[in-house]
Amino acid sequence: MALARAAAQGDSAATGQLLRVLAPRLGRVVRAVLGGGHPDLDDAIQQSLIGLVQALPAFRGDCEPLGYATIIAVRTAVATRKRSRTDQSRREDGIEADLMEGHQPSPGEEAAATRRKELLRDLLDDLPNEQAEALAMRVVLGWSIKEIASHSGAPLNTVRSRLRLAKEALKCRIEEDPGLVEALGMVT
Amino acid sequence: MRVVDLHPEDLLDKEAQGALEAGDRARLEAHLQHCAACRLERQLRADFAEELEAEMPLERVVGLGVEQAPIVVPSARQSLVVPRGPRRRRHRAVWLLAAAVLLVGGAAAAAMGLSETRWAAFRGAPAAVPAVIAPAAATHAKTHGVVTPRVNPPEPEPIAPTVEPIVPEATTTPPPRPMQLSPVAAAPVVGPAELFDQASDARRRGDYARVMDLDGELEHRYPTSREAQVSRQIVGRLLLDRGDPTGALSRFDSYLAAGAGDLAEEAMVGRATALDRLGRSDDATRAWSAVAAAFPDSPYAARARARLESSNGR
Repeated sequence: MALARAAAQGDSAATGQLLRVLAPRLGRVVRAVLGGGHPDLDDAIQQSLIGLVQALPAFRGDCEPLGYATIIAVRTAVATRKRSRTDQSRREDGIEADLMEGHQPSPGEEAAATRRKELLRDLLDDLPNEQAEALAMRVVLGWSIKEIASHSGAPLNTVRSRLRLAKEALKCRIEEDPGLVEALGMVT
Repeated sequence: MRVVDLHPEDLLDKEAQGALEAGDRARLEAHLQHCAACRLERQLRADFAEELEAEMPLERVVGLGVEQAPIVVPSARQSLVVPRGPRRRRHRAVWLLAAAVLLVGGAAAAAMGLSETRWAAFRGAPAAVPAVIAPAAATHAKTHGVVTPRVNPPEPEPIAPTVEPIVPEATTTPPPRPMQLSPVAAAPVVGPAELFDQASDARRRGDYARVMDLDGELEHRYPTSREAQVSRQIVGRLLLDRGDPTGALSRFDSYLAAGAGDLAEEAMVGRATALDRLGRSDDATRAWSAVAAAFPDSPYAARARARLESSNGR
């Protein structure tokens, strides 16, 4: 916290140190939202760090620096996905890259998990920004609704509403394809 | 759309925390029975929890030793020069300046290789910065334009002392940066195993430039060694993941040309994937057929068959 406050005051040494501390976590968050094989992954991580530096002056210590930075990473990643979405082949590339990157993928569950994550990432592309960000914080980061509200500065009920809409879109996406439930390995 | 449907997020949170009581569990399970969205959410949270835990040090992306790396903040008028070594590390300069860019404005953005378009996008991108803090951030960037910390032109590396300024990119979305092999300069003679180990360490650090150098040296000095052979497959996959299917294809072909190896299946799959990405559909189809025929029971066979069915349906 002290480091973040010093960085917020414009201390460049503190800023550098803070970046070193937070960068690995931000990298993982951006990778999770974008997918490991996304061609803009490197750039998006850089953008999230730059976004963090840009936002530091407004940091007042009201929340944990990591949460503050994570929000920026999520927003950057969602924005990157929306910008770079092009065609179906890119999606296929992403899946392949993920499979190739896996350490020792077991084809069954690993493939289902990959499909689930790709489904979610595709949905993020289609949702309005606020809903996409809320859904990413909820599902990708595993945050509670209170945590999302706290970190994003949105009222609790607003977060609930955004998530509800996002999940309805997710539900519709699943219902459009009756075979998807099984393919995604969605057991009850 | 039934937007009034309620999803018990609080119960999912309690479950994740191990704090779900029996009554709540019954409620949750009853809901999950009919709500595919919540079932998927629960599974996705577990999926992503694993992914977020997966190691990804900073070096994974930038090939930068962050523990030692200084944050260099140049003045707005200074142009950054970096040594051109056997592998010019553009990302390194980018990261060194990541902290600086907003302190010194557009000049630094140019110096770090950001296009004008991207820089402009940063300045006005509410999506990347919490909206409530963006104005303050802009003020901060301006007020810190006077910051002029130490900027010592980096010492040229002894191998290649030429320096050259980093120039901004011309487009917002840069094309994939293919990795190019370049031989490393004279170095103490080391064996193939040591070179391979060094390459493995570099790969774990994310220092891909170093991986490529060491791979080139392995290929040059010990082309018939087992280490060089394995390195072809590994570097092929690396190039594929890094957006260079041409380089990857060459590596996979080299691996397969050297005869059957333990990684033949992976090399064949990589080769087929590279051909797909190069748009060589007929060659790719043949390559996938070969995968399916040679390894009918492997995890990749289903993928190969799906790919072939897809091409037959076109």
